[in-house]
Amino acid sequence: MTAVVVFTHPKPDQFAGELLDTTVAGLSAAGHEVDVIDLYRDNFEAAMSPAEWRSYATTDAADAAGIGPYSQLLARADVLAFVFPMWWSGPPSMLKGFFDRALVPGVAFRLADNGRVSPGLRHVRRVVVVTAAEPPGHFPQRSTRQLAHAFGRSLRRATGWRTRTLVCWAGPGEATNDDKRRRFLSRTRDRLAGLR
Amino acid sequence: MTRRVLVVHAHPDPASFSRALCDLVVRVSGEVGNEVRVHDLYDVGFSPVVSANEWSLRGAAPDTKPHLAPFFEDVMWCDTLVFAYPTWWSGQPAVLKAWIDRVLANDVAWSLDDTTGHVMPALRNVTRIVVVTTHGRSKSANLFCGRAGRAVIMRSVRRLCSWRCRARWLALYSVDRSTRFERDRFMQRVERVLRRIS
Repeated sequence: MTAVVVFTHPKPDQFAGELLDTTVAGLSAAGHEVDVIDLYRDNFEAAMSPAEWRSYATTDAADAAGIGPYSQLLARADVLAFVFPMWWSGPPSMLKGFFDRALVPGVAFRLADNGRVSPGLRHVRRVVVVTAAEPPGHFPQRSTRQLAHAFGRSLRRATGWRTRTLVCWAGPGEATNDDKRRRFLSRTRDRLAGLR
Repeated sequence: MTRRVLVVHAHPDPASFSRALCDLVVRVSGEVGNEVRVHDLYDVGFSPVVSANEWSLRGAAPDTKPHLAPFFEDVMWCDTLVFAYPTWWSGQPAVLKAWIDRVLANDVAWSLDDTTGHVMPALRNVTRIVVVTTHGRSKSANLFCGRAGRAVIMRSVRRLCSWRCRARWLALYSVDRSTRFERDRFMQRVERVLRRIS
């Protein structure tokens, strides 16, 4: 079993790095072989170029755009995990760029001649979202959590409608309070270790 | 009353429908006598990521980020924000999300309350938000997926603006299968709404 972790954070030395380590540890404990895609370390180009846009519907887009290694990893993933902070209710632009550029026709879905779209990542059984909340007082926390679910749900066009999303969501307290953080990390690790 | 309109647009193709919508917004807004400024993010080569340096300066004053100064100035100048973009993977294109992540910075769009540490709105000059977007999929598919991109603007960006800020969402669904007639009708709708903002 293979798990692919897509990690996004400009400075992974603090809480974000711990979230990544916990995710990798949890998925390994579940018996997965874990591959990590670190978008900031790879200096991933997040903006879709005009040339890519023009060749979007053609099947060789994945090779032309220099995202071949990513599509090879995605092609054998059973579990797809995303570790990122929520910024303004959404994923960081870097991660959004990964969606725009790496999840293209031929990799994430197939376009039929009649315009119908069929999923290309049906082998992904679970989508995991590990994310940390925005600063306190910004929003009701429950709806922020729903947005993390929405983020996973938007992937179903690629994975098929039956893939479920597991959300491990750290509230604002977890990032600042040591005790809460340790409890959250061990709970996350246990939840991921139980992922079959 | 003359309004100050800032149009933020992101699409890689200058011949796209999204660009046509942006041009329409600029033209109509100019015709009704508004002052218009445009941020065409692909045109100015806007960096699509928050760099590690910018991340470490997230709580610092705006003058520590001189490369973003013209963007800060425009966003503090305007009283109407118009976003014109295509919806990809139920969200903004990465370049536009980067504009939201980078330009809506500390002491420009928000500030921290000293006692509670909560985020307080600072874009009180903005009283109108209009979003002009196109979705590849149908409305029902978008509703099912939770419309995550809509939340970024209608929930997060709007919260940073004036408390009486009104936001309008203009969307054309199923654009991949749309006919010329549907696109023209949508452009007329956008024009109707923009004409009233003056």
